[in-house]
Amino acid sequence: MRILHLSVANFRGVKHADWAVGDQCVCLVGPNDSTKTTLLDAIEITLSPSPYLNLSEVDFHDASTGAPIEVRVTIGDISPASPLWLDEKFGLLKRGWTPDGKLKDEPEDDGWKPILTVRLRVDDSYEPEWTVVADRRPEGIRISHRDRALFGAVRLGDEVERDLTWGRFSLLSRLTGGNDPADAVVAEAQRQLRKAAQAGDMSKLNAAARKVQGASERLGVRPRNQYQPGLDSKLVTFRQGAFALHDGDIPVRAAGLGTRRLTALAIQRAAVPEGAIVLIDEVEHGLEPYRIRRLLRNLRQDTEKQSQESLEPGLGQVIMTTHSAVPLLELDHRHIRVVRSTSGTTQVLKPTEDTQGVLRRVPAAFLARKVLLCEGATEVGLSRRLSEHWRGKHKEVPIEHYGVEMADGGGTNASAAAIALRELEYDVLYFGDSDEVKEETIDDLTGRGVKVVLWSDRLCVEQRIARDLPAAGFEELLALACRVRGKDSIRDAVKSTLRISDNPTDPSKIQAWGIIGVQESDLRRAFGEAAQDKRGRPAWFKSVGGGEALGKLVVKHLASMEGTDTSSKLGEVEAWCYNG
Amino acid sequence: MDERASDFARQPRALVVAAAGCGKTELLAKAVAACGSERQLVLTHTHAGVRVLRERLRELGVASQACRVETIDGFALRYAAGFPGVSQNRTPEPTAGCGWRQVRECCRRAFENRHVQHVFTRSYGGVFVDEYQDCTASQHKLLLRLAQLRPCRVVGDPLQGIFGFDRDDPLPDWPTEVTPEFKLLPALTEPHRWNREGTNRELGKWLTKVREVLQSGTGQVTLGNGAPVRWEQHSEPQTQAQVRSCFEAHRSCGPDRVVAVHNLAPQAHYLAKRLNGSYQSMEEVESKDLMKYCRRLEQASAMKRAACVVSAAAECIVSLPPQLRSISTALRQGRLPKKGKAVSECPELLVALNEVAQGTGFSKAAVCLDLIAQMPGVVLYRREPFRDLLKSCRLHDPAAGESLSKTAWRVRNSARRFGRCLPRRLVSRTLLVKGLEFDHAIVLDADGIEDAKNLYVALTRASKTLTVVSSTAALSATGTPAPRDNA
Repeated sequence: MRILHLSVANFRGVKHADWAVGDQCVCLVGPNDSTKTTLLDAIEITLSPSPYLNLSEVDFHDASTGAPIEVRVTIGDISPASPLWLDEKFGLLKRGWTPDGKLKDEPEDDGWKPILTVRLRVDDSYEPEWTVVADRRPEGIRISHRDRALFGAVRLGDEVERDLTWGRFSLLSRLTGGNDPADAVVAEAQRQLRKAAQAGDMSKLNAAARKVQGASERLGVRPRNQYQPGLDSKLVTFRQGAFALHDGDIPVRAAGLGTRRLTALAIQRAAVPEGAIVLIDEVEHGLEPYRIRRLLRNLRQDTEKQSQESLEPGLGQVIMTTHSAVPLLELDHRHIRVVRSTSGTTQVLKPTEDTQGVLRRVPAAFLARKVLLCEGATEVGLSRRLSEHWRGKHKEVPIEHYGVEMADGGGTNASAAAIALRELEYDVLYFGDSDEVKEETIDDLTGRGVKVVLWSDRLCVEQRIARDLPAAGFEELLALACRVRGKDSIRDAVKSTLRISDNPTDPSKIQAWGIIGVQESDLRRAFGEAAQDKRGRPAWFKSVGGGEALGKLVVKHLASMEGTDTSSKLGEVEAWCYNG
Repeated sequence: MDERASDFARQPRALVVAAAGCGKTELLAKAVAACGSERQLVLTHTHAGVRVLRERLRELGVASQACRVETIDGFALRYAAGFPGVSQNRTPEPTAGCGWRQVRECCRRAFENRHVQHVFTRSYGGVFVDEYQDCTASQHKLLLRLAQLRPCRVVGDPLQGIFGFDRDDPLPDWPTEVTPEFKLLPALTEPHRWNREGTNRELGKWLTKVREVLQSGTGQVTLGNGAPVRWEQHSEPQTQAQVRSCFEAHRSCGPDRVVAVHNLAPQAHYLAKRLNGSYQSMEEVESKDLMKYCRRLEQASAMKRAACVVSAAAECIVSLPPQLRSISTALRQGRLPKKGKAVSECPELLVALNEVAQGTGFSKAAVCLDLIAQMPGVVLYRREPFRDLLKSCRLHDPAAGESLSKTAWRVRNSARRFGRCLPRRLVSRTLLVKGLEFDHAIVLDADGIEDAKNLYVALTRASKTLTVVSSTAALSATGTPAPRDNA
């Protein structure tokens, strides 16, 4: 079973949503209130194997019952042997799914996938109506809860206790083979209990019963046998779900949340041989990182293993949500969907391959609202150091509170990543050097709504900072470079950039360079140029650590850098981070 | 029979020819039962046939999950309308004959699609078809398509093939087009129907011989000479002998079911009228007269509409009582009687007729018909169209925007689906009683039946006594059934 398409109307926060689900392992991310969970709920209630559905006014969009709730779930990979295909059930409502992912009302071509669309409709009568529909038969055919169970949709919520017991509609019962053998056991237990009760001292109860009998006979009641005390099975409350899964003598429901959830999931998957549609809200909930990763690896492998045997239908599907970066580490961009909700319209966006690098390096970026996308590691380090400084300025409020996550764009791929993230409707600030970026790329970025901050004069970050630091700061930069890279290496690089042959006595001193006739401005320019990884030399600051070191210097001297390009560009980044 | 049935069930494609009353339905039912858990599709031609099959299957203990029984056309429509794009079906509600042919062709087209095939093969382990001789060319083609997907076992009797003659969709030629497609299993010839307690064993034996004679295509059926048949020789006018035979059967047959067969529809109605309502005249399924009454009512307005109500009723009543006759005369002149017996004896009817003339809907017409039926001296001999007209007028909802004819069509259709309760005395035609079983039959115009098939059907309706009214004791039936419009 696999959900190929979902549409939702007027359900809770979703006025309208259309989502081509498709893949077998999907993880929804997005800010709070982006209606991720509502999408899972919509699927759950539409494919629910329970005959009841408790909805109230607040489940309607804007709490208004004027427009009916309508959910349509289109499902593929239904086993050819499924009874759902009988012509007296839903076989004549078979629809088609084209290889390029389009829904057709009829399976016109032999190569198309056979699918069914289930619709749940709830109007102001609150009476849910489950039907299988097609455009050619818009009123549809009602589908019973038993037939809905054939879709094998299961929800792993926080309330898993029901799944751990043999109750009506519970999965353990399905695993036992339907029709609650537990009921018979419960009945037998009650019979035994009644017997045991009667074996005790019942004389006072018996006397009372006889008194009642006498009184009622005077009123014309004629008991068939004799009034006597007994246990009334209706008054014994443990009817449904009296049998629960135990670990030794301890019920599994008493175990930790993570164990409970994992056990419930195992039951769910075992109960649906055709491949369950598993819905997991907040997959990380109650699980340690290593258990999350193991779970995801397991789920992913299972669905991937099955999709290779594509001739063999009955595949499962996992749709989950997360607020944690840990699950994202186990997934790649194909599995992730970004959910956006704007004035009631929910969109589910699919990341392109261009986001893969960012996902690997900074999975948390997908959980943010705003991404400060740095061209490379140097900018990341610089920004990180600066953000600490900003926090002090902004009453200890970090940029994270504004939903900002910094990410390394991976150098030359960074602009493509910025566009890809922008298409997922993240606020993106592209922060980088102007020497590498082409004019049309900048226009493209800006045109798509990416905020672009580049150093002026086509300079890179090292050049810019070397130019804009005050003299004291620049000398500290020189000293820093000499300490990290060695005095000789710095001296030689600057000399070769300046094309001079004289040696300064101490390359970490501006004055020493002055003695051999090098102007401070020339020195600054030459240093900035030499700091880059040109002509086969490794760059001096091209790492997060290098960037942070640069940042430390900049923060120290920022007060005296007013009016420089460094100061104004960093100001722009700060303002963007703290805006909104 | 059990062994034959399980052998039949095992065949991938087989045909059993079954003479009338030789246990054909039992064979089908037992074969379905022999198929075990695999659900079977059982097809026949008419809704009446569907009902009979369902009943027999239930009697023989075949679980309802074991098979689905429906008409061939019902099945074709289900799949054609289920996949209108694949089948290119443009006739979701066919009524006329050619509409059905298109539906069958569309269904066959749909079965070229793998997905449609899958729904069918998932739903059924095999197919049985009853009354195969009534299959038209397009039905035959469709069934052969199904036979490529699932075992297809059919029963039929070419000698009872009196349907058809749709020029657009003729019957396939039995020996060259039907028989070669199936493995031919031994025919059912043992007359079981006449071997039961209380039936006429001699008649059964005689009919077996008659069958051989008629099959040869050259023979003559001889009455008298010890044949177990009551022969009434008639002389002009023949209706006298016909009416006499019917009255006699009516008196002597008690609670048994009697059918009088006459193959001309107006003649059948006329006889029923002559028989004073002791026999009811049987309507064809599509009930052309009911539709005619509805159209007239729709087209007429004011006093003319009231006149239509009375004239429709008059066509179903043996003779009009005097007060109704005076109302009818007045209405023909465009007015209602102002004085006389009609005014004093049926004031309610006059009020209701006046309301029909004033109003727009038809609900008052239903009131009129109801009042007419209750008038002393009114005897219905065509109860079916009368009741259906009354029901249609009552059910018709002017607000729903549906025409009265459409409502009548629905009334008729539901009767078709849910079955009609046939009266114990019936005047009818071979076409309408084919497949039905009676205790006594009177063949009223044996001279007029000139083809072997219609004669065979007429002669085989009764299980106890057979009466034949004809001018000579030798019936020759060598012709082919007369062409007719498809029903």
